[in-house]
Amino acid sequence: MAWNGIRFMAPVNWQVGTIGTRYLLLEEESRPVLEIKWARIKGAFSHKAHLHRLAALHGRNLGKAVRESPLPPGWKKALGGYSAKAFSWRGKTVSGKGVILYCPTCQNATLIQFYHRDASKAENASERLLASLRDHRQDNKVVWSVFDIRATIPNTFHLVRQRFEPGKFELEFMSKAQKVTLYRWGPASILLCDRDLVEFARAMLHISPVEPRSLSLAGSKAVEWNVTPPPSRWAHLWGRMKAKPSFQWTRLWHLEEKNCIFGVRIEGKRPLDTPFLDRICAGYESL
Amino acid sequence: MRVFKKKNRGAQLTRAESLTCTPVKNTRIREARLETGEVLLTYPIRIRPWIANLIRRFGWGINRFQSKKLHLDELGTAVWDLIDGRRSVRQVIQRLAKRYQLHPREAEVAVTRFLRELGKRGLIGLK
Repeated sequence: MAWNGIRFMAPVNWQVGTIGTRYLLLEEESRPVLEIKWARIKGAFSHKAHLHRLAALHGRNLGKAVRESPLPPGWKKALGGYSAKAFSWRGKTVSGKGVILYCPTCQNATLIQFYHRDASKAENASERLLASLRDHRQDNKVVWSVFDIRATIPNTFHLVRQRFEPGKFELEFMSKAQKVTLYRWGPASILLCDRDLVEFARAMLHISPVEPRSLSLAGSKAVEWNVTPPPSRWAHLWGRMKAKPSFQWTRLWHLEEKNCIFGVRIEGKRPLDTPFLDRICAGYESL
Repeated sequence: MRVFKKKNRGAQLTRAESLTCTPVKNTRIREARLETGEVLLTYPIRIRPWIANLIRRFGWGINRFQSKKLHLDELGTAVWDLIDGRRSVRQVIQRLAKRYQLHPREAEVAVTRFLRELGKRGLIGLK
């Protein structure tokens, strides 16, 4: 699982229950098992201050007393590169154990809470998860991997909108000059039962009069189209002045073996860089 | 005395509990299979007495207003066909996810939303 800079390996039966820009709640059989939130810290970081704030929040909202606890040896070994402080709390039916982490390399602070019903079972899972936790990469890219999609996006783009609805996933990223939108629709067998990919693209993405091109992408049927303003000086100036981006490129491809349709749309006010478009598409895959 | 007293809706099921329930079809529903394989449901609706009186006063036949139709699409039909009075909501979700290669969570949201809608119309009950 990877989301907005954080990556970790979670047990297969732990599913995403709630998702925010810098927040994940994982569930097992519809019950919360892991909560994780993170943020980039400007200036000095204090574990004590954050623990105090967490304790106040828990006390006020949930009536639970959060107290600092010694870091279990297994966790200490798993969290070698981080500065970590553990805490625990106990409710009527569920107890919790967590850790506040700070990475001095990327100044990222992460709060992780495990909700326990069976403490012995949870101990092993939590150790494995913490050992796999990463909060930065060396290649200036961010991996986004939730549900059945995985995308690799340059870190100059930040997430502005996410939408996970049955049948339609949408992730929108912005940088200073461009906007990237990733789509995933399913099940394709139903969506394409009475129309082809071009008609589907027209209906879903409201294509203007531009005619889409059909192509084959690694054995998958695909359609692609781009919108470019006419190459006159006035059109160029007008394109720079108006709020809506003038250059637009969209590609949709049908993954038959996964029964879904993937799509990428890139918009910008300046001409788009073709290798960049191909890299985004190549990094966007179904799990 | 509280004037706007909050309605007591009884104990609400948790998500985990509701997934273990078994959906059961209302026996008063008429089910027709269309050429496309999709299902058309005809179900009775309860008319409030004062509306029924009004209809009678205008001399309209009351039978015209006592049933409604619901046309299910392919996915809706697939879920409807999986409701057999034995499978739990969780089993329906698992079967649908497997058949259409949906993510389990995606299938869960879609199925529970659909079942809730059927429940509101009185087409199914949960046991």
